[in-house]
Amino acid sequence: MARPRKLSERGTTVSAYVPLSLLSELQRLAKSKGLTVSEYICRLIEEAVQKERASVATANPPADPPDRFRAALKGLEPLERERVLQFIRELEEAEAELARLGPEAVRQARAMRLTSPELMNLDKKVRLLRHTYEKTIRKSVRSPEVLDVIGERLLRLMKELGIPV
Amino acid sequence: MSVLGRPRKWVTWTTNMTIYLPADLKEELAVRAAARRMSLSEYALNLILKGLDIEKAEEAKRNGKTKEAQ
Repeated sequence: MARPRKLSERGTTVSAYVPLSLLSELQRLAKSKGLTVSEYICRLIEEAVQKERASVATANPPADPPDRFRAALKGLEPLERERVLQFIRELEEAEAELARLGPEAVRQARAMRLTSPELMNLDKKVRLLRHTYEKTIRKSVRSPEVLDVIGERLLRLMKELGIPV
Repeated sequence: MSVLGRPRKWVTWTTNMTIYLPADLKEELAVRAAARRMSLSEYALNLILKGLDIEKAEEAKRNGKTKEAQ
């Protein structure tokens, strides 16, 4: 009989190119915790991602943009800045629309396969935003701070609406 | 550095590591990596190092507390 699946949900592999010393340290730490290297690394990645999510959530841009984000925005070319600000305005409109509908209502509607015209419009709007982000913003804006902040916000919106990333 | 190829990413000894993750998490990582203009491998390595730092900090905190209790 085959061994049970390691992950109950669908799993996939990622290859990473790492210094040998790091791998040895990870092996040692995993062993000391009684975990496999794979389980231990998965846990480390999940912890780091959670921390990143939390830091983005507390930054709460751009209604009250933190100084770094504001400075990064100032450093952009005028055309780039205008493009980013327009994108943020559209992102805020979509977020406001989602808040008005209520994420719980959206989730329920999705689970029960109910589609209201408002929900369909919002879905369309967010998909369009993703397209703009991938085809325009990501290619033209060179500031990682700006891309981080707006990318995270778009990602959150897509997750709430169940749009695949 | 080799004469023809790109420079080595690491000057130290390196190896390839395969990480088994839930598919949802991998998709999320791919988006986050793209937002930071990094490869998935680089971003995953960054996260591992960050996770290690978090773990070490927590361990140090725990050790400090147990020492205080003693």
